[in-house]
Amino acid sequence: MNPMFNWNIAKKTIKDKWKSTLYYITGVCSYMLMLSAIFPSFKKMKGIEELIESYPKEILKLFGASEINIADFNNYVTIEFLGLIAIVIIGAYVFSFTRGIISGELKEGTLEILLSQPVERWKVISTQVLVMLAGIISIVVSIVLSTFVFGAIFKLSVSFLGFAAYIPVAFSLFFCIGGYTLLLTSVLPKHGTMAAIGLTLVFYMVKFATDVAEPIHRLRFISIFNFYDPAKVLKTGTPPATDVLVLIAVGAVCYFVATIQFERMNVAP
Amino acid sequence: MEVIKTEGLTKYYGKVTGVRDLNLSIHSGEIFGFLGPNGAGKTTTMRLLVGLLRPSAGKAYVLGKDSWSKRVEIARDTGYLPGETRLYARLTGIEHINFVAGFGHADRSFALKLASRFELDLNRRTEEYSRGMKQQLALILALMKRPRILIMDEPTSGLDPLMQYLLYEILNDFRDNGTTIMLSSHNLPEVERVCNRVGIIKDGSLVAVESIEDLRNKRIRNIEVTFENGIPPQLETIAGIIEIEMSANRARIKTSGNLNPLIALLSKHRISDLSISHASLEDVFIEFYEKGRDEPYV
Repeated sequence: MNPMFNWNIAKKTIKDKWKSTLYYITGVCSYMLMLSAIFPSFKKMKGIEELIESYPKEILKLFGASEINIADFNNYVTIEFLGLIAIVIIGAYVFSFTRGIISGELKEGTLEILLSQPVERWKVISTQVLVMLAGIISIVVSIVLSTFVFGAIFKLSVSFLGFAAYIPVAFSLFFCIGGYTLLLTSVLPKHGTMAAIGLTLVFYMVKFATDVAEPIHRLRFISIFNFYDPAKVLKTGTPPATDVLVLIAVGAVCYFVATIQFERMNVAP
Repeated sequence: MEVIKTEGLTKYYGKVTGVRDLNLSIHSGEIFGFLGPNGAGKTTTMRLLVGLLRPSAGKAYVLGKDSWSKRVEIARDTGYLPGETRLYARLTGIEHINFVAGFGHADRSFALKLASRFELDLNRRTEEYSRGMKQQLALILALMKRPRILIMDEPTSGLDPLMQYLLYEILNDFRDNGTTIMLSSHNLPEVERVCNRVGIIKDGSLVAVESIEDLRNKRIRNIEVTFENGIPPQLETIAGIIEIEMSANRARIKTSGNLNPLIALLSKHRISDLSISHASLEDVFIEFYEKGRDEPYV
């Protein structure tokens, strides 16, 4: 038995969350199906490249694209999905899941029953976090697998290595987002999730602003999105080890501090 | 043997006092009632004992272990019933039982027997349960460990009289098997019925710890009697009368202790109406604990 894991809590968490995880997986796969089905017609549209080129580069950066070549399927998926929409969708999953771990149980009053059982508080957190990470991996892998499947069906030139490399990059980003969300909900049980959503928006806007505005370019490191560049990953086919490690390290520190905070927390709904 | 002990136990919520300098000692095998009005600090004390709250000062020990740092060890031997019954809305009764049994140290088959005694339908989601059914399930979850210690916050809350009586029977069975029980209530007759000793808490401070016998002797009753042929003059001289109010043929009497002298006097006269009611807990506080313990009350 894994010492970080309480199978009893895991079973209950899976029972609570499997349906919503399945809905998210269905959603991202359907979105990939739509993108893949549209792309052949989209590519044939006359003047599309000129139209895209006419947009300010900054707008494309807002959608996570570092290249304008939208005729390339991988770049198209970055702009239409991985750069922003995937962050919103998987981010919503992470916020909703993490909210239930501390503040949801506290608000519902069920934490009192749970913590009166012979189980360590840190194990209550680590078990649910591990189940959430499994959920994140399932959704990210579903995006990649559905891209392969629909790419084959619609005869698209999919970067297999690129999408495979995207898995650790996306996982580390959402691991990090989950970490600071849990930390904020442990410190601010009532408003932590909203604070985390706000912080994520700030990170995204900081990344955008530091990308487009040269005078503040050096500040880009304060945003976690500086370490998430799907276009580059799809192009190179290699996950940037440093970026992944930075995101994992930030997330791990947040989970650790959140656990310490939870260990010391007064449970009084 | 002391199984629950607090030493100067204090809990503040910001500037608000939950409990202050609480010194309590509960012995093995007794049923200890924790009495007090709402907001007195009963729930805070119980949450401190099961390690849900961290003391601001002082210590609490359960089975000789520090209630905060050894809370997991304590949870193995303790059944806890929270004051407000909050269950997982989407789980059924049986899923709750399986969940608690899954942590070990709990007896699933015993839980099913208890459910059968309460005649509780375990196959419905708890969001469909009535308040009383939720309370029954919460009781089963606390009792199913067959714990050495039971800490129960208002255990009869939401139960109908029949179920309350059944719970008293179950608690007596547990006590006979050596379980130490601490239960809170704001209902004096309930505590008198099941407890050996009572601690009275008010505004976060323990004002008294009494045996049930002592409490009974101090018990205040409100008696209203209407005489057919006028109020007998001896009525005012009966021992134990705290207060008497007379109008025409009717007397309103507040009394404590032994009722027999009063009953003996009443039996010698023709009475057209008689009612006896127990004073509220608030009245007990006012009479015994707010006036000061050394002050005579007759």
